[in-house]
Amino acid sequence: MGAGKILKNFATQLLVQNLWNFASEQRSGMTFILSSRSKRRIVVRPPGESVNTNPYLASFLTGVIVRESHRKGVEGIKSLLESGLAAQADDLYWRVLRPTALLAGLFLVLLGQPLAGLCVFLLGFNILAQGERLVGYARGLKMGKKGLSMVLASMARTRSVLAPFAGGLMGIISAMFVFNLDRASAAFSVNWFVFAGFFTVSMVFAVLRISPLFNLLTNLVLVVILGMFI
Amino acid sequence: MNPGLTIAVICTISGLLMLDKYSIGEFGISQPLVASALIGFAAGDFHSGVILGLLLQPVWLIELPIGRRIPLDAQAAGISGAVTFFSLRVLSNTGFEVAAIAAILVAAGASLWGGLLDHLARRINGVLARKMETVRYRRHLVFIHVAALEVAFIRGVVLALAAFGLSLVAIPVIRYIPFVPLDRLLAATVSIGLAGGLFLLGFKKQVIPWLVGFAAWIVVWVLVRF
Repeated sequence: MGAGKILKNFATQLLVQNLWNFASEQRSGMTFILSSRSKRRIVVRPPGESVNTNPYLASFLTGVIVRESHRKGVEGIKSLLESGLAAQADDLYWRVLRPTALLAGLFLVLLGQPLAGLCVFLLGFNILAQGERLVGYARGLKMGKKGLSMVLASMARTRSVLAPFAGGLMGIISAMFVFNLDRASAAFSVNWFVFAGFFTVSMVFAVLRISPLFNLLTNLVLVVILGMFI
Repeated sequence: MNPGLTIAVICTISGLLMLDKYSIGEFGISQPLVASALIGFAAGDFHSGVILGLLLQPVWLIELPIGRRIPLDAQAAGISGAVTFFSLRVLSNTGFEVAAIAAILVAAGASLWGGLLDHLARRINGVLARKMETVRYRRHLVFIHVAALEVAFIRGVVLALAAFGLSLVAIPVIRYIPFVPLDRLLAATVSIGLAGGLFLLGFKKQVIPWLVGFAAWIVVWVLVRF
């Protein structure tokens, strides 16, 4: 497949979530993507009444739908793929990759490197997420539904590397608040017992699965009360 | 820059940022860390924008757009918080810390009502999607997609204007907001992201990497200090 086709698919894939709605979900976005391939400039609709998968894996799904479109049972294949991909891809991209990239960015901003922090977040997240969007279509077209196991294995490998990395970053950021560098060499420093107190309160909220907004309001009240005494 | 022009530029940036939420690409530029920095840049104070992003981002770090669930709107929080912060800084010369607390409070509210706007936008998308089912030619699809992009853009502008209006109303009462040192404010919000992140990624699996990271920083600290 030529670079032009790959880039054209990538550009249309950017709109897969545009028009997301409760009835047909990504179907309108997928219709636009499939129609952009039509040489007769007509509308081509995906099988089924709705389509919903992780937006970065929609590219792979499109490739499989195009490859299998002339075969019987394509709707079943699509349903199998979209649910299988969505579960693992949501876990990788939303639960692990985005928080990890944000933590890396926050770490650098805390070190007093704001521009580097923003770049690390944007590049770290998009190289993997948009990279999958870029190559997914060709992979789906080439391998069809058999590519599912490979994609799932690849995502599982990426997750197994990123999750401990995120844990390490959280440990480093926590330690930064307890063991402050000199103000001259770090952007911020705070008394260790202040951070330890807030961290303990936040852990309680996290354990009890209470909304972070309540956690935020509690911490704000505590920080004001603390100011009255220390 | 002329204040009116600054507001127009910030509203335009807010609209464009909201396109990143679902409509185009989802590159992550609408996350509070980046959105605050961009709005700060437009307001002429990039550095303050980044620090505000640092305060806002951890609170909404663990909000996930998984499946059909509509989470707390981190993007609305980032946009509204940044607009409030810079409006107060510019219009009433409010101190950094007090403007930051006001911005955090507005952001918290915006993450709730931004969710309602999100719901409304998806309903409008549903109407457009039904229209899309009836068209036969590709060029008609383009018009419908552009309409959906406009819905998302307007949502960003509405959030920015609402935050700006709220800032104007808040100016007389802003002096009642207590001063809190930035360091403590930072500890209050970053701790939420760190604690939430530990549970988001699985507490048991994250304990050892967390301890390794903690120990690694102690080594750095010892080397720098002694």
